[in-house]
Amino acid sequence: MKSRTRKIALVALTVGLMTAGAYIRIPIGPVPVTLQTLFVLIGGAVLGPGLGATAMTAYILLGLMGLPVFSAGGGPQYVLSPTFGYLLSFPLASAAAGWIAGRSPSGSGLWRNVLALSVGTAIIYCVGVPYLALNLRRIQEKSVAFPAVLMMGMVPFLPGDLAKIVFGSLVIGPVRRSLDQIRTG
Amino acid sequence: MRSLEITLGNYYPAESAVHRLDPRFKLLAVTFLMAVTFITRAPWAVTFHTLAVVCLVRLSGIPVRYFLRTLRFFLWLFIFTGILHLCFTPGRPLTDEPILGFLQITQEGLARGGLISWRLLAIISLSALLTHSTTPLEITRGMESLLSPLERFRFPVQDFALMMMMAIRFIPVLSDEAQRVWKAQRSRGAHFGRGGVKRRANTLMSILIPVFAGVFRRADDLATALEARGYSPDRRRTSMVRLVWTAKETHALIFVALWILAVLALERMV
Repeated sequence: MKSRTRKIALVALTVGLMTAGAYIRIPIGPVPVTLQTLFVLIGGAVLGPGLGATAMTAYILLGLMGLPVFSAGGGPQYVLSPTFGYLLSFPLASAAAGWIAGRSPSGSGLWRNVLALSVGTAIIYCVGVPYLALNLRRIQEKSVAFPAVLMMGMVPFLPGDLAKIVFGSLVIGPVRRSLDQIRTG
Repeated sequence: MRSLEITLGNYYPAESAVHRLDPRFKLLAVTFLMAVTFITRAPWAVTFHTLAVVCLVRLSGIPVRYFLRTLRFFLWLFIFTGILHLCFTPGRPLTDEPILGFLQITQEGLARGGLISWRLLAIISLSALLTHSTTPLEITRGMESLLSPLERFRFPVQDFALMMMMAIRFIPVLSDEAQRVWKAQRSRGAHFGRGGVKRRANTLMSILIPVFAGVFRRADDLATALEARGYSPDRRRTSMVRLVWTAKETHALIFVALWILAVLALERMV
């Protein structure tokens, strides 16, 4: 992107798009499955690590400010929700996906995209699952064994994640091309 | 701008002392009060906190039904917490026979689960009051002002605030556009949840790619419009609304300080 104004506009609108991703959801158990994580990772891979992380940070802040951008609404009380850890991981996951996918010209290797999305997904769980365990212990004041937390907050979503990784790595190329088209006019 | 915002979020437009307070003050007060409530364990302290929140909600002029309706998202969290404690706290059994053959509800579980869910409700209501009485734009302004010291460390607070305001403005536009693309593709025969994996992936792709392309195009137009009107990120912007500390903030500060002291005193007494 040429100017900083252009970057600001691009990031702002990506945040808007994240909201749409949060609303496409399949509710199962305490952690709703959404297309959101896919948008987080594609966003990072297309915008690059810096802008991706900025967009995700802004998204979390908007949600905490009370805009209904999260899958169950918004507001500062969301910090207490058991699933807030997943949201917290988005800036890092997005940056990692962007960093691995690299700035190579459009249509960068499919395997590279698969790796970027897999690492991003892993980061989401690395932050989200311990937060879930901590939330159960501190806020619900109930200790649950770690394997049980894994069964609750990770295992049920792995098949969906696999599908998202395959699908996401196919989409990154075309989405990048559409951004490049606008850049070059 | 104001009329556009009211459809977004939980904000309830009303003329009340709570609505008129400086957003910076409200942000800080809610943060402190949430932290204080977190460390309370005494039922009396939680009761006091609940009464104070109820008074504030009455003062804010937000209809109680409207207020409670927006809290229903958190209902499952209360139920989840309650059940965890009811069933898994060791202690004196409440019934002779276990319910359903294996679940044993104890007196300790009932008391603990009740208190913790109640405390959670008190904390959540307080933070919900902030977003009910303050528009997202006001909160952004408050945060921009509170974070402005970070500009010394080269953190672009102003850029960030502009970005948030633009996101707030464009969320409805973008979700409209996503819907339009979805309908357009459906009218061409795309159908979710039908066909094999490959076909489903194709359907999803036919929606996601135009949506992303639309976002990029709009962002480009928006940036051009900003630049054409002389916007430059390197120059200091002035705002139409200026935040000032007045007598009402001082009164509110006294109220919040007394509130915190009362909760802490009740906590110590028990």
